[in-house]
Amino acid sequence: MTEARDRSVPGLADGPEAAGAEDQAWYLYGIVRNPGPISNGSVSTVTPYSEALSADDPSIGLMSCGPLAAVVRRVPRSEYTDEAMEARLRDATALEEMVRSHNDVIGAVHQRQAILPAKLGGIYARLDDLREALQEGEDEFLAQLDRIEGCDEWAVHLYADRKEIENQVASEHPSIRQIREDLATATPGRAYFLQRKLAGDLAAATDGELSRLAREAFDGLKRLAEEAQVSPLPRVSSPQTEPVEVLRAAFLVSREKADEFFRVADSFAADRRGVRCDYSGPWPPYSFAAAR
Amino acid sequence: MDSLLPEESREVTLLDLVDRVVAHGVVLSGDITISVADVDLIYLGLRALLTSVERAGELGAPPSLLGRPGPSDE
Repeated sequence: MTEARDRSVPGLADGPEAAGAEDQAWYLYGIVRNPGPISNGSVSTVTPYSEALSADDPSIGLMSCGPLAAVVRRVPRSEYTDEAMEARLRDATALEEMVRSHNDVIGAVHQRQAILPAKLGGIYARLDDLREALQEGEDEFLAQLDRIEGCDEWAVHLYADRKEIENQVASEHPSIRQIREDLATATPGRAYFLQRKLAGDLAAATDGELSRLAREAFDGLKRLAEEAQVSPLPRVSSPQTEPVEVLRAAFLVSREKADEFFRVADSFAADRRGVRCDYSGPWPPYSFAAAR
Repeated sequence: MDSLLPEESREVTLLDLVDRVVAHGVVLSGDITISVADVDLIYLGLRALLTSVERAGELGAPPSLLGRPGPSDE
């Protein structure tokens, strides 16, 4: 994979600072440890990442900077003008394609070495700016690359059947059982009051149980992860929709612990009625790329 | 246990994918020509994409049981 650092591929970077051309820019995919020889040069050039990676997309390259390198692709600025972006935004297929290809490149790199994924759509006018940013943040980036080494990100969604949980709470919660017992012998007036109290207490207790489930799942999975992060849940327009999502979280899991991580996730749901745990991955570590 | 429909799997994974690339990842300082993810419009566009994916879940195509995943679905 490691060719001489000075080899440039025509069309990738025609000599140093080819991106000085007004019509060119550089799309950033992420930051890796420089897999090639450490360059002491001060010129920003881009070399092909590797035969395997660039077989599908020969325009993916590496801009080396000391012990680090940026994974980049040269792009025509015309693809990213306001007009071009607005057109793309109106086209869900084109948007999805942009999102998927961003992740495809990062995923391919992630298969072979640790990468700090870049956010979607970071486009840089000048390689020198990228280079400067890498130099300034060198210690931080190296530390982060160490933290994510050998790890994948897993996205977890925990769902609960609210009605099922409510039934469990109704039969197990002492004060709610008491209200139901009282209801059986209550006068009509008192029954009305008790019904309303029951509904309120049951809703609150169910909410509490859903939160407790989410916390228990998160804590259990976090024990097997290097890092973990809760994501905000989307606002649900129809809250009665079953099942309800009670937890959305990202976990940075070392590959050695992945099987145990899945076991804990699977058994958490299997051991509880009305609970389901979905997870997707392995993802490159987007959620754990930025400095803490 | 519901079996996984290809469309459902793709939709849930798309949600996870968009969540990641738009909201997370490094951004390097510098003379950025365009940072697409910071442009308000892309959030509108991607929110529309996400909404259509999430709505599919609300309209009775329940989020699928992925269980033990196979090869990464990108």
